[in-house]
Amino acid sequence: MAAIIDAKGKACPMPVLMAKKEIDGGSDAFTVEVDNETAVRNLEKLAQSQGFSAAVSQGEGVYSVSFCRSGEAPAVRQAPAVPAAGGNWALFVGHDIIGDGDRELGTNLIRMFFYTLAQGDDLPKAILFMNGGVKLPALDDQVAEHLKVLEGRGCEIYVCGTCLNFFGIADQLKVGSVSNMYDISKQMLDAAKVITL
Amino acid sequence: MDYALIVFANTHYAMTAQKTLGGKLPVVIMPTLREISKSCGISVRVAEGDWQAASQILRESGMDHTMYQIYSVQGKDGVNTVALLEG
Repeated sequence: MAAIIDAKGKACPMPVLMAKKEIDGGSDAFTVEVDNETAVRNLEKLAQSQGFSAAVSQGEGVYSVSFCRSGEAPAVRQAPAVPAAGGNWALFVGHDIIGDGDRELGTNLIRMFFYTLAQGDDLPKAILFMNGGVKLPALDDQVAEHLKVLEGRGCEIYVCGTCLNFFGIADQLKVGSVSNMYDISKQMLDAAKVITL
Repeated sequence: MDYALIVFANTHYAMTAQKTLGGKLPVVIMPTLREISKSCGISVRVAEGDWQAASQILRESGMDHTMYQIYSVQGKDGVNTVALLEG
């Protein structure tokens, strides 16, 4: 009988880590129970990346995500439709401003940074937002517009779900995918270089 | 003209103008183009059809008219052509 992993009440990224542990242990079929949609989406992403199918059923406040090894090779991340002109690099954004001298100046600097990035040719493969950085794709209209341009040009945008929840702005995210430490750290480790703001 | 760009004598005027115009017109903060050298690094971009309204709002706010200029910007093949509209 397929194992059932109880990840209800577990904060991001624990459900994904628990599922990954089951996969690494050689399991071909198991079910993870969680209590929020973000965890469901992250588990679906994990399944796709590991060569599993994921079927979701919903009960009373509980989502059951059933993993089943599909027999296909783990998904290789597809190249973006419009290839990024730049190399394999990632941008990590841990603040909603650039620098620490003056908040208003820092806000303008980061808006100009993303404007310039969106207009340029050397694009990151991934842009990763954590801690105060998540306020940019959620609350800053100007930066969100630049991020939409970048996403349209093939950049992958990952936004920390734990951080969005902490600031109470998860429902205001305008661009990017709600993500977790598992995905974000993988993007950092896979990149040839990481630029941190 | 692709858009109009308001450039400022210093950063403080740029940030004040952004606050003054924001909410009244769609504005985008962007770095001052290399083709425009005599200003601070922060510029305010407005749509082609909004520059006269922006000019009026700044005038009515009491901002010193000598502290900013408005340019038209036309981009082609990565080269920007700028022309002074006001200031």
